[in-house]
Amino acid sequence: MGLFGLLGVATKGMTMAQTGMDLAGQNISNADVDGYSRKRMNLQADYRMDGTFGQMGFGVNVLNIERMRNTFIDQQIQQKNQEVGYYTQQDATLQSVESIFTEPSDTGVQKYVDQFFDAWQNLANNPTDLSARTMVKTNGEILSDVFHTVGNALQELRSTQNQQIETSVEKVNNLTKEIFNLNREIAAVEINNQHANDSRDKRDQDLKELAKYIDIDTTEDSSGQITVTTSGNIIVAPAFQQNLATVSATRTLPDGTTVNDVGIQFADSRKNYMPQNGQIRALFDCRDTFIPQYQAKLDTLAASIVTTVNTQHRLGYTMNGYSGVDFFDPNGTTATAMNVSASVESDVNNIAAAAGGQIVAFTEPAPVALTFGNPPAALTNKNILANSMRVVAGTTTLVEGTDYSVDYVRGTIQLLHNGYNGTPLTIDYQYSDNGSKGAGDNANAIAIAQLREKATMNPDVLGTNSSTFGEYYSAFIGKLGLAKNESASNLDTRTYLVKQYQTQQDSIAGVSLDDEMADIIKYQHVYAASARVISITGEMLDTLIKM
Amino acid sequence: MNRVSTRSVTQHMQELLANKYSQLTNIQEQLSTGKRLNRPSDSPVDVANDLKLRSTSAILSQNSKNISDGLNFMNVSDTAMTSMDTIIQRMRELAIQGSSDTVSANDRISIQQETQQLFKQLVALTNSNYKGDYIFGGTQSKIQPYPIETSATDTPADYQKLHMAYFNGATLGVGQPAQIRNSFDNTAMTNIIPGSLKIANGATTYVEGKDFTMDYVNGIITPTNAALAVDISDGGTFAGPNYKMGAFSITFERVGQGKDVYGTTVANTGNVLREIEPGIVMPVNITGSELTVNPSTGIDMMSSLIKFNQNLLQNNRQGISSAITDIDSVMQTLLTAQSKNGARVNRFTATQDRNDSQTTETDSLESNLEDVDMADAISKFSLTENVYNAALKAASKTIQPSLTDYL
Repeated sequence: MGLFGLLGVATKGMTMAQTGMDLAGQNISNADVDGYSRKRMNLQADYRMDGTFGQMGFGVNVLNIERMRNTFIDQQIQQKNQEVGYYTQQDATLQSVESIFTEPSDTGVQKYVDQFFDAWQNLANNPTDLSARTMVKTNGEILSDVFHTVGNALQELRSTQNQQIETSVEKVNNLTKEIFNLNREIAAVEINNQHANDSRDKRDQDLKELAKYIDIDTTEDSSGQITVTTSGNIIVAPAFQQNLATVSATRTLPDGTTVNDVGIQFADSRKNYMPQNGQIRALFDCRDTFIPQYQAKLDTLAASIVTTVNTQHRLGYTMNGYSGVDFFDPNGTTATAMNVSASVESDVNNIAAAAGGQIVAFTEPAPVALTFGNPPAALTNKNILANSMRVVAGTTTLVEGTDYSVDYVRGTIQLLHNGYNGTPLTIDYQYSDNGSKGAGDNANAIAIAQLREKATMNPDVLGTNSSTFGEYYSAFIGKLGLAKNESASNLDTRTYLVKQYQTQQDSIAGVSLDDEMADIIKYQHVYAASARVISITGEMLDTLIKM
Repeated sequence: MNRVSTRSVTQHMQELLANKYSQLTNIQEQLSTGKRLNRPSDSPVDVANDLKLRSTSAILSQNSKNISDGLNFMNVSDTAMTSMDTIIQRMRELAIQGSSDTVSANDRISIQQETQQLFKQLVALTNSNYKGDYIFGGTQSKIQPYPIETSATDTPADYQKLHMAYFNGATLGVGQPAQIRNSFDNTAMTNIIPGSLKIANGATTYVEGKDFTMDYVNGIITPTNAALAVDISDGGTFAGPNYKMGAFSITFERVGQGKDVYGTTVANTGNVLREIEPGIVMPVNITGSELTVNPSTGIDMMSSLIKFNQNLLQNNRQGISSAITDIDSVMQTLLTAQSKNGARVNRFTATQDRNDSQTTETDSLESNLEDVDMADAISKFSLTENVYNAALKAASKTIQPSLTDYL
């Protein structure tokens, strides 16, 4: 080999050192980039055929640049990320549910339920006191308001899940689009037997990100392109990418209101899609299972309070001597619809604190014939229950307020027009055999106040109620806490696993500045030494020329 | 050996610090709120129990209010009954005095002056109230159980007034008893307070014993003077003001009975209740009939004392003597009612004591569950703080050195 050949060998060394510096620089600057794998060059000693020695060294060749990464670990992370995505979302939603209930505190439902029944006790202590009555009404309103607030907040949280599904679907589409593009880049580069290192880094990163949203499986073909399937459906293939699309459907909730719920379809096939895992699945589960579960519990509690209090309240007598009055609006049997009844709302004297006598069903012994314009005719009994009367002429049932009017307290009836003059009317009704026992009668107020100590909810197999309002509520708050704890610990274990894998991957792919610095020194010296070889070769050539 | 990258060192360190910091904030939250339980997931079982305890505590505190209110009610009843007792004692002394042979008719009339006032005071006491509610009226707390009703004067303009009297019987004459009735609703005017009855026609005043005899308990008058018989006779059936108009007048006071707005006599036997512990509801009131009617002898306070007054007024020594037994019976009724009330007071007080100790117990249980053990939390806080500081120090040492420092 001649001296010129030596120049070539040294130049190759300098090129290699330069490339090495390049890589070290690149590695250092990307030391903190997510998903970046450190790059390393593979070298090979070059040789030529020498007449004397056979193979003779001919400098160094940079074979290729390789990224340091264990793709198996990436797949593990990808799998675990689906669960991380799922539990992160579940945990966040349950945390919101927790803060909606604000228990244990002085502003939670429990506190106001207690206050409501305390107000009844207070009324029992002061049955003739108007302010005690107003307090019962106000506490009924406050209780309804608290149920509204909690119920609406849960409803709001539920619809937030829908919005999040839409946002997440958009992110999924962006990711799959990017993966599809990266696929093409990788294939284009690697067809020349080169490594598309950075595109692969990016694609691995995207896949891990995608796995947080939905369940995915990936397979890589010989060209380096991957196919991504979710729940058995291809969303990214070498040849195409399929978007997800949200569709909205109207649903009717138990309390009669309608909501627009979001569903997912494949944009091209219009086939319905439900991910098996990941954040989007958690959003669906939260929307369709977890949140409704707490809504249902709250509704059950509201309904139970409304019906139980009403049943007892109807038995009692108001200040005006009427019975059969509802305290809560009987139609408002969900948390959001609960309300104090219109009659109590309009007049606190309609609160039935008195127990009065017994309710007796009664039919007038003989048909009653009335004449329009005559003074009210007395019935056999007084203290008739409001709305309990039925007046029948032959086969026609007369309408109260249109055909006749009744003084329930005095027990009198009169016609309102002359259409039934002299017609024998069959009259039946319910009355209280003892009527109102006076303003100081507080027995019904106590009976209502006692409802909170009675088992009124949670019927067992025999239909016997087994919990009080408070027990039912505390049990479900306890369950909420357990569910939150479970999701948090599920999330913790998954996150821990991912972190473990990440650490493993990091020990392979992560950039160590010390390593790189060492490399830089190394390549600096290689470069300097190679340059030295060139300059000495130059001197040698000089010597040769001057000869 | 595992290769350690620069990034993983910082990341690991950051996570570690964040972890310690969140522990620190957690303890800090507990310390500043004083509460160990701030959300259900802090300890689901404890939170469920805590909610139950809070409810129990609410019920206990409300029951305690109910008990004190009931005790106040019963104390008012007791005060009223004690005063009534004193009055009846005095009446008994006067009855003994009046039954003496040596007392003249005039003396008896002056004794009656006192007993009449005592009786009115007694009736006023039966209408005692607590927070504006009549305590002896049963559940009819807005209606006076024994109102003292005054008859209206007899001018024609007052015709429609309640308690105006008329006398039934078409041919009223000397020796013929007539029932005094209310001209408005036809009810018999019983329990007229002796000494309050005045009958006059212009300047003529009719005098009991001379012009008529009177049964005050039943409200029956028997004229002994033909002029009075003419004055009060209407000569026909009831159809309007069937006593003579003009100068003739009859006025009196009587002990009535509570009536509702429809004019129906109401029962005073209802129980006013208080819940003193979960599921236990107790009456706090002494009903009107418990106060006035002796269940074994059937003797009624009002009518027997009216009769006593009548006997004094009518100088009936025999009647006055027998009134002493009646008064004893009335006193017995009152004492029974008082001891009934006293027994309830005892029960309420005992329940209050139990309620107090239960409240203390529940509060301490609640506090055990939800309150932070300060000493424990503070020591945990300093420990975590130390660890955090150490971690910070270690971190600052670990990430500082690099090969570049030595090149």
